[in-house]
Amino acid sequence: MSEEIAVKNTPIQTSTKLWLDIILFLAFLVTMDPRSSGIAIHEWLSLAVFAVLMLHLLLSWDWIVSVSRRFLGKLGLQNRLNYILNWLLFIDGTLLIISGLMISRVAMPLIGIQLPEGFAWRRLHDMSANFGLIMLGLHTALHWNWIVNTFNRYLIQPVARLFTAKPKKDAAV
Amino acid sequence: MKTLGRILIILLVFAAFSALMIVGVNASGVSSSSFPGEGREFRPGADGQGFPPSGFQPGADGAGFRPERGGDHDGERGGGGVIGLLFGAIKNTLVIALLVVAVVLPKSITRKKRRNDALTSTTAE
Repeated sequence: MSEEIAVKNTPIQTSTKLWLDIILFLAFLVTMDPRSSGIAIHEWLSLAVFAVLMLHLLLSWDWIVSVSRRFLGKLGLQNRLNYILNWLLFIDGTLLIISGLMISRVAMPLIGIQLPEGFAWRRLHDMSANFGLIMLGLHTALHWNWIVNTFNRYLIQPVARLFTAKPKKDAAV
Repeated sequence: MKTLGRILIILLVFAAFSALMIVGVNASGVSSSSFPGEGREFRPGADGQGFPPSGFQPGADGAGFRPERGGDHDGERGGGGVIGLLFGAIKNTLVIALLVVAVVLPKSITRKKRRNDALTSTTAE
């Protein structure tokens, strides 16, 4: 039998993670289209996404540590797949940010760093962005149950409760 | 303090991968331009033939020779606006949705089938 990882998060941690993920997803969609958003928004938003990603990793820290410890031992297939995929996503994200900084036209020149624009970095940036989209899709798919359950618990149910809750006067009668 | 340490670990791993990538790209020698012909300046023949093409009339300010940076030719500036952004977002969301369906649907079908098999076996007993 393979061992499953059960990491307990507090409701506040879980809802924070959900909101962070929603923000990350929306920001990712905007940054994926620099032609429409403009290069300045693309660059600054991408750097902000990096900071939010750090928070996302910090909130998943216990899971990362426990899977890292058990990776070579007994571990469920889903956790193992998830772990490998998350590392690939991290490496791809690193490549995306580094290649983005290398071809930056707004952020880096603003802090006084001028880099010669290399075609290879540009190609790597495009490739890692496309690869990142696929990886994000797989990451979402592997966490689909969590997304549906958390969405239901922290967004849909509270809103539904607002409409279905009886007014206090009726309850008193 | 614990959080700070964790942030430091993430940044260290990020820096290590970044360094590896920069070294890798520089070592492979492709960081410079690899467009065929890029980097070499176009020069007309010694007799001045070949450029500009006959009949070409640059503007009075000479701007006709070179497209301005930041225009449509620059690639990534203000192409589609809000509508373009919306279309791009829909397209990317569709790609993600397709991947989610491709992974989640077979999994849920298998789970349902297994549950039905278990149910039929218990009713048969």
